[in-house]
Amino acid sequence: MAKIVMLVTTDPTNISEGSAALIAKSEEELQNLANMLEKILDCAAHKLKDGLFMIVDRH
Amino acid sequence: MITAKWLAGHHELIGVTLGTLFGFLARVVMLRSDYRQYPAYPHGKIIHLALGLIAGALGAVAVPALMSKDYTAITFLSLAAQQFREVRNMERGTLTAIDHQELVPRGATYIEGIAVVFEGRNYLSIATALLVSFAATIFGWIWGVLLGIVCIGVVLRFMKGKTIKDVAEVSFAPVKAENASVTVGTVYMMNVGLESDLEIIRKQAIGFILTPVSDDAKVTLSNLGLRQAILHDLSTRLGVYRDDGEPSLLPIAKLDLDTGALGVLILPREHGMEKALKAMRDVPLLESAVRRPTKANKTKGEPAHG
Repeated sequence: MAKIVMLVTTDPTNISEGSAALIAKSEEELQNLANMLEKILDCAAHKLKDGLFMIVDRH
Repeated sequence: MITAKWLAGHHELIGVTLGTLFGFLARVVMLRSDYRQYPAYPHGKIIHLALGLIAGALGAVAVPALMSKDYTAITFLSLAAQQFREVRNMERGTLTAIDHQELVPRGATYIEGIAVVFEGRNYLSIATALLVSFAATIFGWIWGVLLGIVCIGVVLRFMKGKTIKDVAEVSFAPVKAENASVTVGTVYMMNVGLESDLEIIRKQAIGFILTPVSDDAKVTLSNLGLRQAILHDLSTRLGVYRDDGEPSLLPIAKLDLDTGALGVLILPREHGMEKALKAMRDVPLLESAVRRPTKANKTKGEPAHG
């Protein structure tokens, strides 16, 4: 089963307290962060909706 | 000095020699190293040629041994069977070990298929040697040679397995990569979040739709092992635009649950459409993936196993 490693969002209301998440200031920064995390963690970046990315480990 | 008279007096020797020769020859013509790339290195070939020679010799000597009423000689054949099962294990072990290092793995079903073929071909070698040796010893060397040629023809015929084009109609389908969703035709493939990855997919990807030709083909196409084999073969023949640590750039095959059609997304290096179509049609149909539910449902009473 896939594991959620991290969330990245532009809107802090998307995430609950205690979850591993990064908050981006803009859509561009969001894409950038998700891209870096994908490469660093070797995980897939999935888009749930505009402004919310989920980094998923499928290994 | 070998003369006609000498030859006439040594039926058994000629039988064994011809049998071994044709058994070995059968293994040589069956040993392929093609785009599946195995055995592609010289030592891999030597192993199989040596085993082919042993298979030929074992099959050939069985006939004179049986003719001299040495019936226990038949146990040698069971020894050979044991040996060749070992070949199958060896192939399975090697291919499984190197599969982890492939960008697009073969998958367990494909590996099992290849391993079975290696074992099976050795038995074909034994059978050829046995028949040729028998004919040469009983009827004379000319009959041995003739039967040997026929056997090699039959063996070549055995090698031609079925391919994807026997179960499905292959056609191209447009690849759409928008709003984090990738689709091939009407089949949803996967969610890709990054705009940069979507751009690569839009540029590089080719989409296929495989429409099953029958109800049996529908079940066969849905086999996960066959799907992985399709992805591996296409990636081997057309190249693959992917690297380790790029989980989004993944060749993938998904079913259209309504119609049973299979959508295939690949990221090839080679974009020749004709080549891509031919590569897809030539993917071997794995024996363990083939299902015939229409035939199974016709069976009366309890299903029989074994």
